[in-house]
Amino acid sequence: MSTSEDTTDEHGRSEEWEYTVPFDYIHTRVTAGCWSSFRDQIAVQAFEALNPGGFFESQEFDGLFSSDDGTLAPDSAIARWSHDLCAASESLNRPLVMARYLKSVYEEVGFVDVQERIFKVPTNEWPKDPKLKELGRMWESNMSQGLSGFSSYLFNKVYDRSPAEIEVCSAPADLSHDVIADLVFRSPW
Amino acid sequence: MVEHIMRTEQAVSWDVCLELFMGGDKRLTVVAYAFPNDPPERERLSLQHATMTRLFEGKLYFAPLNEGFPPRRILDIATGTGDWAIEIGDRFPNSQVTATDLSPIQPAEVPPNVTFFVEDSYVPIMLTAM
Repeated sequence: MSTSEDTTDEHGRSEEWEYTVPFDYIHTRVTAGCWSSFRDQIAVQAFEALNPGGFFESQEFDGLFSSDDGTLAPDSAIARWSHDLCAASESLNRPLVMARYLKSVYEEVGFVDVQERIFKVPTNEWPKDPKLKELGRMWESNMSQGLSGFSSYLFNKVYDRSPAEIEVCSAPADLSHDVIADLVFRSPW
Repeated sequence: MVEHIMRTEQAVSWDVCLELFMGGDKRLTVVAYAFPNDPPERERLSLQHATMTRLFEGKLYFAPLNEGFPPRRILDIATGTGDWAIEIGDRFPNSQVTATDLSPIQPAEVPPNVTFFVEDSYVPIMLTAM
């Protein structure tokens, strides 16, 4: 494991944590879009801030839509929107596509016994199952309140689109949302 | 191009975020954090927490934490409105929970074992043993 010599970030802020007493358990949840480098800003430092045998857990989702049967056409409106959104976040150095890389990032910085769990969240009320239907309803509400604003910001900043040009697609039926990966890692003894 | 770092202590809404970047001031190219922190955003974060709890069927965590041997010190990064941190504090009442975020949007009343710290853009976090 190596850390960068220059520990200031692009804003000139120190990235080094200065906790004087180590932790036993460190947790992150839904932080994609906050970091230029999760590895350097979070993973490396969490590793150093944990007691041996301590745990690090991240509950993160990926920015891309998927469909269970792989039928999401790459040229469909929703696929293009999802792709544009993720590409915009990349160009602003705040990637939304992050969760899928976390397992290997954490192994790289020294965590062991890594366990990854993947959950799928429906994008709206399309499922017949009542539990999934309710989950989809809640997630759709979360997305329309949060992601649409964030996507407007990204589309304007990166692609210079005016509000009139920005279309937020409401997800069509039978699409599952962003895979949520829950990862648990242990610091080696 | 002049770069500015925007940092405000007032609640920031989506309108403000968008206005800043759509407005004529092209010098504003750098922002520490792109999200608002006004009441609607806080509500959304609470909804998000409830959704995650439902997704995980009530589980707060999957790490093999043991209530018989609880983690003595817990850190929650980017805690937002602090819902998770408060719940884990209740779950492990004898543990110390530290939770950090750029925005001071956590409730004032918290369990005694939970402490929120606002990350300051200019000053590194310095926490000593509690």
